[in-house]
Amino acid sequence: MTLTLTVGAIINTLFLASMYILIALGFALLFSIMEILHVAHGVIYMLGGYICYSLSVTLGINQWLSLVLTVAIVCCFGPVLEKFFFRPFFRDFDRTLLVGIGISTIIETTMVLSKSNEAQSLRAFATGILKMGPVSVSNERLVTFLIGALLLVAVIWLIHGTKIGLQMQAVGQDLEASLLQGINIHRISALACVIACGLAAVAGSLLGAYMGLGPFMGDFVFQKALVLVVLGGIGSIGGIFLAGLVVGGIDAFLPLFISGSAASALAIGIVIVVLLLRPRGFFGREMGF
Amino acid sequence: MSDAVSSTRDEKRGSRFAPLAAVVLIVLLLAAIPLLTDSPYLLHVINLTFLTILAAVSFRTIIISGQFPLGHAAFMGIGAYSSGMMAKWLGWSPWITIPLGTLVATCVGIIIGYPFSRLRAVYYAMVSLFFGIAVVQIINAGGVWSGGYSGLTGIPPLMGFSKTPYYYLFLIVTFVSLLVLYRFETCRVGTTWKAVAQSYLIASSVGVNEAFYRVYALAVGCFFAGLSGALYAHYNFTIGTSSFDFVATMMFLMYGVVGGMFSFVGPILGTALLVLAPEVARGLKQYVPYISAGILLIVVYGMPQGLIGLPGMIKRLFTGHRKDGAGRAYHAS
Amino acid sequence: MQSKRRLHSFWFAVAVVAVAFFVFGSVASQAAEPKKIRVGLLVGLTGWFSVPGNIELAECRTAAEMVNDRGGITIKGGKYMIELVPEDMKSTNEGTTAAVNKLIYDDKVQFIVGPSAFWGPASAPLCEANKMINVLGYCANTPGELDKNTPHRILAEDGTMGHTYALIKFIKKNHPDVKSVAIVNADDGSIPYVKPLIAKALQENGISVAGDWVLFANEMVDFSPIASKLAALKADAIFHPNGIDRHVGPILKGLRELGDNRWYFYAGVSPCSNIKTLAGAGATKVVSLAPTPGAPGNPPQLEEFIKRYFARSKQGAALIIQNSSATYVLPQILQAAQSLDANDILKALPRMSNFETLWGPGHMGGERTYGIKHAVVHPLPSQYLDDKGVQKFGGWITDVEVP
Repeated sequence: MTLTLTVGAIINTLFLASMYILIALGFALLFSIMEILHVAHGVIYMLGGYICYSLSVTLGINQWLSLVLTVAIVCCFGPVLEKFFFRPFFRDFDRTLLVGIGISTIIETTMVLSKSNEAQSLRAFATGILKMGPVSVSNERLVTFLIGALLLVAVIWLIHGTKIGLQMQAVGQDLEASLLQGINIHRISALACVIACGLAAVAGSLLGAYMGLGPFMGDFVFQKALVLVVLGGIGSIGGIFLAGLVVGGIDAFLPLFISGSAASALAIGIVIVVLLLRPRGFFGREMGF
Repeated sequence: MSDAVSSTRDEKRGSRFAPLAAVVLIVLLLAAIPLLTDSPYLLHVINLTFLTILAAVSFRTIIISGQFPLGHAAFMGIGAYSSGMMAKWLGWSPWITIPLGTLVATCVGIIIGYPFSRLRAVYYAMVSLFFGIAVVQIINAGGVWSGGYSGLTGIPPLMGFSKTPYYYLFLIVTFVSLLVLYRFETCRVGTTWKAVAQSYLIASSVGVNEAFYRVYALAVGCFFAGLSGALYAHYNFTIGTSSFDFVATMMFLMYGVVGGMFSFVGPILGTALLVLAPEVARGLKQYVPYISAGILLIVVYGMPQGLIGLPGMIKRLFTGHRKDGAGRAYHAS
Repeated sequence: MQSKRRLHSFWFAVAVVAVAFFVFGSVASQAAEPKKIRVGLLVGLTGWFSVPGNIELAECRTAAEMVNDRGGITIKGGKYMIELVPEDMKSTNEGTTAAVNKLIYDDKVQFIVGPSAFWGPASAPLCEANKMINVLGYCANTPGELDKNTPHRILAEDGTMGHTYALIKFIKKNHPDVKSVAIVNADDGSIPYVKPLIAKALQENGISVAGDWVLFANEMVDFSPIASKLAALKADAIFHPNGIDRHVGPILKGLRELGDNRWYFYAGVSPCSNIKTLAGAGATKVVSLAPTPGAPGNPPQLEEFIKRYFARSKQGAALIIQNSSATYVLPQILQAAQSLDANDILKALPRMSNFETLWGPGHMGGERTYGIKHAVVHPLPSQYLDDKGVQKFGGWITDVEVP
């Protein structure tokens, strides 16, 4: 493998890792920390991308401002999610799963019916290409990477460094004990949902600019986010960082050696083997059930 | 995760002949349908329903043992593809490849069962999900042999192109399989499964080999899923991985929850409703997903015990008794 | 849960909505009126392929409308209108079979149009068994899609091979300096079958293939590894036989980002405008075989079709013209055969020479490529983005041949 290819693959790894981490963060906050299975994360991600599109392309608002507005708008879905889709089925995984699927189906179908255009995309958040020797990266990917890294650090700080984060962890680890401690479960859950929606909105907008928009663009999100969370370990956001690098690395290097679908098959195979050897993932805690 | 224990409360305390008579009546009715209708399309839909019921009930069989096989549809796919590929490339008769395909699915289930069964519930669910994805990807990477992404075509039909022979075959196979699965559940094996599901420690303290029974459940479930898939391959003449992915497994879960997961009949009812409803509503074309999603949401929100719990709900409505805490949740948190 | 009264009203509302849906649903699938030719249409209205599917439904309705507004077709002195009976194939092989079952046994259609893209093989077994003429909107050369064993299938669009042959002609005429290409494509089931054909066609035109084909998994999300792989292959240009804008755009973007400035020859139908949307600043030096409205040499039926289609759907929606090509050609085949009977039509097929397709005059071909001379071969337009990203019309490729 030539130097260019190797360097390119390393850069791709970093970028893919940041991309996967970006989409997994919101999902991880809910599932990893609070044990709420948010299957509709992909749909919120998609809606975030489309809302940003409506603001920036259709209405002509500055794209960065649109991003901020999108986050604000999508965050409002958070309490709605918590009250109507999570609270009635607290800890009932089957139903949370099915409700998420039901909602996703309805929203995706609505999007398909209301769009007749085949390709839509947000404009790049940053234009230009950065060249440093054999390395050539577009500023767009750089910006996405930086924002992803920033958000990861922010979420880790939130979970481990703030009182709210500790409360979230408590709810996830031991519900009864948290109640005894006087933690308001519903308020914490709602807050987590708000943050998760905001994260999904950012991911949707950034990746909507990088990869284009589509009603089914959120379909791969659930699978990728789940891989990252399970591999990283439930209960650990830092684990997601490592898992993101591993999965990103696999996805960046394997297609260079193996063609086509075989690369995807091998990638998932590697994940399964790792999980069989260490079901807890990298830094996960033991699940109580 | 899900606790599908003790359907005995729903068994009639009175006559034991009533459910038996009901079953016989239903089977006779079903057997009479091809004679009453001249629409091969109706037979086609019912054929698909039979096979789906078989797969959905086999899904539930594994759930009873406390495992959550989120990759179950992949076993249907393994059965379908092994049977289809053997028949197409080796030229063997479908009557031979279908049992072989079923066997392959069962063996794969047993092989992965042992390492997987050591995992606790949620980890098992995740690994099973990823396994399902892996199977789909492997089939997609199968090049010429599996047809890859375009699917496997040119599968020799089992009994020609008319729908009626398949109808009776599937009716018999499904009926017998359901009998077998019901027997599994109500006899000692089934009770052991439920015990293992409830508590690992207590079960093993009574001398139950937990791992063995879990793999046993998985093998039984995969057997019938593989059978369903293999029959489907030679009925549909062409198969694609989109029928056996995570979405398909979610459909089984959907059928089970909508029908009522704690009852054996639950998945049967749920499957029948959720397969027939989109068919009846076909005229709505692009709006059909709203129907399925709508039914799903209505049942999930309004009927904690699924459709099986509906008579109970109606009864409580009329007798004026208030629900004892939002109905009995079938899952104990 | 709630109080009894809220529970009652909830269930009442549910009952009303349910009844309404079922009534509406069953009424909506009523049988046809007489003196019409019922033509079944296989499109993906739900599922992951539903965005192109819904576009195709509108296109096919437009094509059928065009035929009917001209007075329909005349067979043995009787006038017939086309009645489209669309059925949703749910973007799966299984859904396609179910839809074919419904069309044949329940809707009792006389002909079936579709599927398009790579869904072709799924409709073959049932249509052949029932001797139902099936006009395809596309063909990717997989076994069972269109060959000696499928005498009732007709292909009404150039398909992967036709598009490839056309693109090669374009390259020879407009880019004679291109002597080697790096090929990229999605890893669908057709690759093993089209690979030798495409390699041969390129070779016959003096173009060599650099390295091995770069294949990517269909559900790939980020194409940067693919772009890296392509950029490392030493060739004069990139060649992409079959795909959609969702693949081409990101690959192009990745290539340009790596400093790869070669021409990207894409033989598919997604327009350059879509590729530009998805590739952003990297959208330069790419060729596509999509139609350009109002371009010189556009046949009048294409212009009429475009005008009607945009009047019916949102302006700017991309054109696919696969199933609609089939919808437009089928009535002509029927009229040329002067019969609605499958056997008569198939006997008359080899004698048919000229068709009016939406793309211009077409003729029958495909004997060598498919093993059966049931493919309608038609001209293809080209368009490209120059090195500044400006879209230009590339001219019509009128001498497309599918041997």
